[in-house]
Amino acid sequence: MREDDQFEKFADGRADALLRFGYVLSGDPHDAADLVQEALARLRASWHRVQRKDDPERYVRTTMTRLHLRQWRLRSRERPTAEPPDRGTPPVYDETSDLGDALAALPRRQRAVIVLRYYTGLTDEEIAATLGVSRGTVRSQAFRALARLRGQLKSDGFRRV
Amino acid sequence: MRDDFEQRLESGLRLLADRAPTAPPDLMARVRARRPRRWWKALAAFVTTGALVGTGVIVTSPGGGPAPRPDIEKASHSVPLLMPDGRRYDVVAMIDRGHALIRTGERDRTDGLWSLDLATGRPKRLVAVSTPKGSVINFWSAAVGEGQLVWWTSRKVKGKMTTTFFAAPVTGGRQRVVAEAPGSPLDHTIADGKVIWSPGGTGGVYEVPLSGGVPRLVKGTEGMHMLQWPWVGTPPFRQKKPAIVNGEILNALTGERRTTSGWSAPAQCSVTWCMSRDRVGLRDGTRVRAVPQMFLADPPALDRFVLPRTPGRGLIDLATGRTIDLAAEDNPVLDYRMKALTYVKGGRLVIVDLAAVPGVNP
Repeated sequence: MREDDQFEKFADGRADALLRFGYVLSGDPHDAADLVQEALARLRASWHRVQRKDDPERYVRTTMTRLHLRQWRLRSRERPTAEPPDRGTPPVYDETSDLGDALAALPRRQRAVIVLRYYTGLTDEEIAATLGVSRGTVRSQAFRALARLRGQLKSDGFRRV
Repeated sequence: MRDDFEQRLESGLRLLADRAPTAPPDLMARVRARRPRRWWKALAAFVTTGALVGTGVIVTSPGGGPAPRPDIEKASHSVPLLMPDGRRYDVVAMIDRGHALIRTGERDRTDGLWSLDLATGRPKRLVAVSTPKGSVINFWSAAVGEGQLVWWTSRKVKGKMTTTFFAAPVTGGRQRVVAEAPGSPLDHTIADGKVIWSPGGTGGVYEVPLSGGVPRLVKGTEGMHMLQWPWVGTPPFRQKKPAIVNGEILNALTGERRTTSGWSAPAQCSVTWCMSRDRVGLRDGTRVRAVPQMFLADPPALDRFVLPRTPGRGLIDLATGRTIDLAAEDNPVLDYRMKALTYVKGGRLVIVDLAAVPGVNP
């Protein structure tokens, strides 16, 4: 199978799962779509190397996470007085609305740590490698994020206190 | 060891993920269109060093080299890169020989559709666009025809993707809802007083009067996708194995069928032409020639123009067999839906109105 075919097979098969990850990471469907599109474009450019040495799925998720954190920095620097970021407020209230709000109140890096640990199931070492920080930083960020979430959500992990 | 809260947080995050949008059916076309800068530079280096590309075949241009620019000069218009107020805009379609339809907004959140005068570069707002709350796709493409502009948005309604078609007079006015329909269209057009489209995935060609009404399936188009109305064929995405995309096509109005001979998968055909990765020719296998590597996702714009995947290779005009040198400063964008090609040159945007390029289709 040619490299382009292999890439397209991967992208086609994993696009929906990557969009779900992007949505949990960003809380915004537009950001999720942008992150997936950009990360896949970068994977396509590096497909030969990534496929040989690395796990394509991990490469894409790492790219999405770093882009998400970096875009936030760029945006906050370039447009300090711009309108507040879209929190991904759902059109209707459902059982995840309070959780969505609580996650939206976290700093982006803390949210990324929570998503990578509890949604993607990465170990703290893997999260550290993904974010390019130390394991100790991951643990302290996770501790602070969990403390904030516990303060806002009931023990069921869904509803607002 | 995870406590109860952490375990429930895991479940909550999985539930939250269910709110995510599904992948648009032509995500791969978007990925290709969004080639990162490094990729473009690397390919440019390949071109200048004369390196081998892809299959190990040294690529050649049809016609022996780029054609002189006069071929497209009359069809090319240089306009400012930004709106007078400094905002960015996107070219969406051609309105007529002297005006392009452009849109403004943040990403795909469109707030206005404008007519851009190609002679003066001045925009005139046609429609103040508003988008339904909760839309997942805010703008994709617009069709111009029969004095109307038609565009669409998609959102989830009770968990199902639902498209709303909007229309407005091409001379300007208020937007109005034409109809709602399941799924998201890959492409849509205006013909015979109707909006006509194919939803991604399940396919089928649907139509609804421009004046509004209930969408209905065009008989005999079940499972097929619009190629270039009234021609319909097989979709280019989610093929389980290499195929000749649109190898067999059907004229939904007359029942005429067209097939291919002399082509093997993977290849993609338009109404007149077929392309493999490095060959292009007529459906019957004649007039085949070598070309630089091709995108196999989109049909040729106007059944005539294709852009090789290698930047700097110019625009291939299948009708004349020539490659037109663009001398672009960035990666030119050819969207078969909008029938125009855009690129940056001299700090301005060049819009090539492809329908105005001289030449006769075979």
